[in-house]
Amino acid sequence: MPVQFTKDPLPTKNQGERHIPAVLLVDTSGSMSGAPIEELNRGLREFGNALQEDSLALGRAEVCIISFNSSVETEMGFRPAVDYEAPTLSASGLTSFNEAIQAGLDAIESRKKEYKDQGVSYYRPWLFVLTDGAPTDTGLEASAKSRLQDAIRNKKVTYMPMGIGDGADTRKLQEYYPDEAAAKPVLKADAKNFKEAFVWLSASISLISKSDPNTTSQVNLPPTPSMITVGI
Amino acid sequence: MWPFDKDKKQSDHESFQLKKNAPKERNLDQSDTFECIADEENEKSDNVSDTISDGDDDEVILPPEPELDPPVYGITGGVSYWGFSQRGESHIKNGAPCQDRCVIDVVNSSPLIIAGIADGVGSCMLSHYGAATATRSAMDYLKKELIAYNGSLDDAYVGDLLRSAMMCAYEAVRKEAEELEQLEYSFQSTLTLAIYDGSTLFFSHAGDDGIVAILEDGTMDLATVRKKGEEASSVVPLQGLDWETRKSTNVSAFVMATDGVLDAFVGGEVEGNRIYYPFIEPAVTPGQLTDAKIKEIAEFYYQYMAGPEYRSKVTDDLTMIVVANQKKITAENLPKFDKDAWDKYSAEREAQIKSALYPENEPEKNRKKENSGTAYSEQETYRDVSSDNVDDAGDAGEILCDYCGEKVSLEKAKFCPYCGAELRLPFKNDHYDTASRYRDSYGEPYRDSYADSYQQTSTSQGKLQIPSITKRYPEPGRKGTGKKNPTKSSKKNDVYFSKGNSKKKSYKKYDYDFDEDRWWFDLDPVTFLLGVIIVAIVLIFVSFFFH
Repeated sequence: MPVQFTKDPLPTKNQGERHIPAVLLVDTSGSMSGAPIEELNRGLREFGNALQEDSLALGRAEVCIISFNSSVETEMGFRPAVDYEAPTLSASGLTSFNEAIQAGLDAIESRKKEYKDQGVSYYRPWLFVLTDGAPTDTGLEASAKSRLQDAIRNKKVTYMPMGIGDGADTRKLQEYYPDEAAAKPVLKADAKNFKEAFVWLSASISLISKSDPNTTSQVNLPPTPSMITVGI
Repeated sequence: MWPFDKDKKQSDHESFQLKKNAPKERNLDQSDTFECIADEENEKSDNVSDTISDGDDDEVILPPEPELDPPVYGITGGVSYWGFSQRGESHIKNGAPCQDRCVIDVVNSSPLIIAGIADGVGSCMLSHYGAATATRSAMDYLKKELIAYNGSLDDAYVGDLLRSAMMCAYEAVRKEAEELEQLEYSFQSTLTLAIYDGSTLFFSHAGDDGIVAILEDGTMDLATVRKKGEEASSVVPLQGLDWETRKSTNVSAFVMATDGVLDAFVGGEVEGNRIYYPFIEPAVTPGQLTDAKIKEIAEFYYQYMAGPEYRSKVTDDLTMIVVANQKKITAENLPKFDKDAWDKYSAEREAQIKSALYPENEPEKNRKKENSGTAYSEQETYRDVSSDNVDDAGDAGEILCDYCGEKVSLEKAKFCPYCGAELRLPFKNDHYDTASRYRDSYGEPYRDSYADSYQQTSTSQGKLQIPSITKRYPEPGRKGTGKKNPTKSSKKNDVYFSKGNSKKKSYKKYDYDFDEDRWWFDLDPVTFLLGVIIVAIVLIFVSFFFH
């Protein structure tokens, strides 16, 4: 009698299904009014469309969108990619960047706790930050910077900042990396043409979601779109 | 040529040396036959040496990459064994080497089997060197010590032996890193070692590999504890020095596996490490008494794991070792598996996870309010006053003068440059807390007509919102205030202006001090005195007149 499995050799449901949480921090300050905020809204929609095209990412990626201007708001809590709904954002107020960083890290910590409570494994969370200006809540800068640097240093989060337009202080965005970081990439895009960045982000998340978690650090992310430049 | 060549079976120290003629790692393309796959050699692994940069442009010559040992199978003293490692799909795609290693060996003629598996840490560039060195050195040590030992395998001896073997592996890897002038971190791997005498299984363990033991009573259990970090990719390796050394008794068979295999059929800790038995059922089939039969089963698993079904679900490197005492496993004492119960639990667990991670009927906006620490009722709406000819002046640092209606910059002016009235500045804390607004200083609900009549309606962005309290809204320069430039404030008459998008909950709070029930308190003192004198004179005249 030949060797064979008498039942399905593997469980129908993959018990090892891993989640990849991604937090999008998006600047909705007054300076984003007009074309930039419209581009941002288009980008968020494109992001959802791109995720929908990848069935594996659809099951593994979880997205949370937090906007920041004078205050910080969770526009969409963590949802699986399949339930993603792009919010329509409007622009006004100041740039509470540091408060947003704290909120983003809080959201990630909270989500990780939920994963642990449920015994769900997960990839390293992503913190994608999009801003067109410099932080105005400078009083919170030291604590936010220190917390994010620690998180990056301890491999708790993948930080991916992106500056929009000429007003973006990319040097400031780099300062949130730990000093000892070998590379401090900051994406940069024109204020009227950056929605492709979201498609790239979706492709990157999809790639991670398909990767072997033990080799995540070796995953080569897809090339950034031509209108997006990467400063180190 | 295929990998289960009996002549290639590891024996003694041969398995611990680099085999120039051993089959190379295979590109596991399912469209090829098993034989074709075996003939397909990885050209990259033929390189004599690899070079890597240490960051200072000093190139260090590394020894040849440690090759994978061929699959092993055999039987001794009625105990069958087989095992292999395969390069995972993700490593094939990336051109990375297999970072798993496994070794099985037999000590003397008694049914004493030793086995070791290691999984190189993915983020460590040279972990395949580390995994190979760890397994080779530990197994060398175990075999040498056991051959020289004539006593009984008591717990104290075997425990010390296994701990020493783990330390031997740790030191060997550290020394290798030192000799190659590389960071020790680059060589990190897991390591699990086992000694089986046909009944008792002793093991020492570091990392997220594992051993599933099937006992003589038909039960099965994950004997090891996965040593993992909080993320899916994190693991506590051999170098973490967090080892556990234990034993299981009355073991009729066991399966050793790295996480690429273990996680596929053993659930997580939250699930009680439940084991999906159908996956290992063919491996522990009774009656594996000949090399041919054992080879057939080993090859069956090798092919299955090289196939698309398994690799569509698992992309990690794969290592599996199965050892079974054929004298102890019978059809009667094999584990019983209830597929329906398994599926039922799976469904319940999935529902539980979904419920916890994606709670339904939780409006997003409610969550938003909780997060921002501001509470207000969903029923509150703002009256659209876009036609009220009132501009949003908040962001620009401007307000409207209450008396002349002119827009005035707050930056320099304290008084209106057009009418001279003192400008009433917004409160520093411009966040609006409705809950506190509806309570008085005693904490009781505030129920005056103003509060009750307060209404909000949806608004367009950029338009200043005012509540519909026109009855009490002070007209500029209204008669009766007694003062053109009032300064006193009545909290009851605070007016809250919504700025911009109402969803943003950002508000400017303006106060004005008109109280029509107590207007006479605001009269000028001279006027008041003159009035009193006049009233007194009139009263005196009236009094004289009637007398």
